[in-house]
Amino acid sequence: MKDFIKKISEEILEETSIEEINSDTLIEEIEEWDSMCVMLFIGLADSSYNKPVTGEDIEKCLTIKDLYNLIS
Amino acid sequence: MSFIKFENVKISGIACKVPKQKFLLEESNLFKSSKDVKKFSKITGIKEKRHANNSTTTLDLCLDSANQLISELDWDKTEIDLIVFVTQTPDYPVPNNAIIFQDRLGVKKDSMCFDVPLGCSGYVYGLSIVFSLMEKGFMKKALLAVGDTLSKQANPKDKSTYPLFGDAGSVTALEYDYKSSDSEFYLWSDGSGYDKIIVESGGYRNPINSESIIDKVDLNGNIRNKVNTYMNGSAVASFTMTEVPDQIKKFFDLSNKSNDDYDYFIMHQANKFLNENIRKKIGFEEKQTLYSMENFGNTSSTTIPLTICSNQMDKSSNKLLICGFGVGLSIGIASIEIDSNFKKIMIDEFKK
Repeated sequence: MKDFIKKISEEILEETSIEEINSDTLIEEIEEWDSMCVMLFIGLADSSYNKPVTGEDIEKCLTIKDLYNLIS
Repeated sequence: MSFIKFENVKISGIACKVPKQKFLLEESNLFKSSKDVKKFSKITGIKEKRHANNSTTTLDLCLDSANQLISELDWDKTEIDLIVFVTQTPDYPVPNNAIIFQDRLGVKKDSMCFDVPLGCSGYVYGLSIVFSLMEKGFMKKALLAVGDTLSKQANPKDKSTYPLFGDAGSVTALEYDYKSSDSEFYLWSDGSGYDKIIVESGGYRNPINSESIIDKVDLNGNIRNKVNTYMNGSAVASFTMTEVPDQIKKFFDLSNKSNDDYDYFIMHQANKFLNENIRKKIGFEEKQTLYSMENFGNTSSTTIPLTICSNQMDKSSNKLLICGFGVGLSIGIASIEIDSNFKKIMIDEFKK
């Protein structure tokens, strides 16, 4: 999970620091989370975890932990 | 299966024309701040694009391209036997652009002219149609016009489409030549994804009525109406990152080739993040992969000819792997060669 959060922070988020997010963070509370972040997450899931993830899968996620469950 | 090999057809030249008017993303009011623009440009690779004015259509951009290319190649217009026009933004719903284009260009009447209404995969499809019609040698010279003005179809208040789409027109000249090298094509379609990129009204399933042109806000705050382009960005992203590289690998298997067989890899210019994802999966080097989206955005079916015309290539003769993908959903992949006599023309009248 720690490694996953680091990847989210490095590859997707630009304005949110790594200290601001943990597994229980609500995605809707990440101010910069938008459709671009969704696309980047699909890319991250594909390239780093070899998991095909759809936009609909991501829409159903409430927390960072839910995103983690998609790729594990 | 639609894997096809062709011989006897040569690509003699390509001309592209972009409209003069620049649209700079940093000047757009779609973004909250300059930071927001920078992030968008960093991910998509798009900084600016061109917009055709109200009196300029796809047909006009392609006509100017054709006239310059014909003159550069020193072709006689009476020798042209075939015109295929790939566009989703024709002058009229009826008749086809290709036939109007024939008359305005001054091509003889006993020529075959028709349109192909495909989008991002359209250049590869158009080439495959022209190759198959010419291969036997009955028709000696052909023009493939490919262009779109998608800036006119996207809603200026829709951040999911408007900042991406630019306008451009192109013409590719092809001729029968029994000494030309072989070309290979692989074409793929998935109609279950028809609604991932769609203009909902304007056909006969949903004819235009007063309700079609009313702007509505979607869940992401983007505003569009039913005669505008809608794009489900995340679905298109998933398709691009999984299906496109998989089908390129299948093309390699079918043609018994690999990335080592090519000098350059030229993809449809969707966005930099997605294109780089494909490049890495296929194993092409950065310097072999050409781009044009930074200055022109996503110009629909024109991205491949525009990328060829707006980039320098090291050698005089080049083997190219081209791949168009998008609306349909649809993918076209081809192996083509351009020789040392190949002419390319970039018409850009922008002045600072």
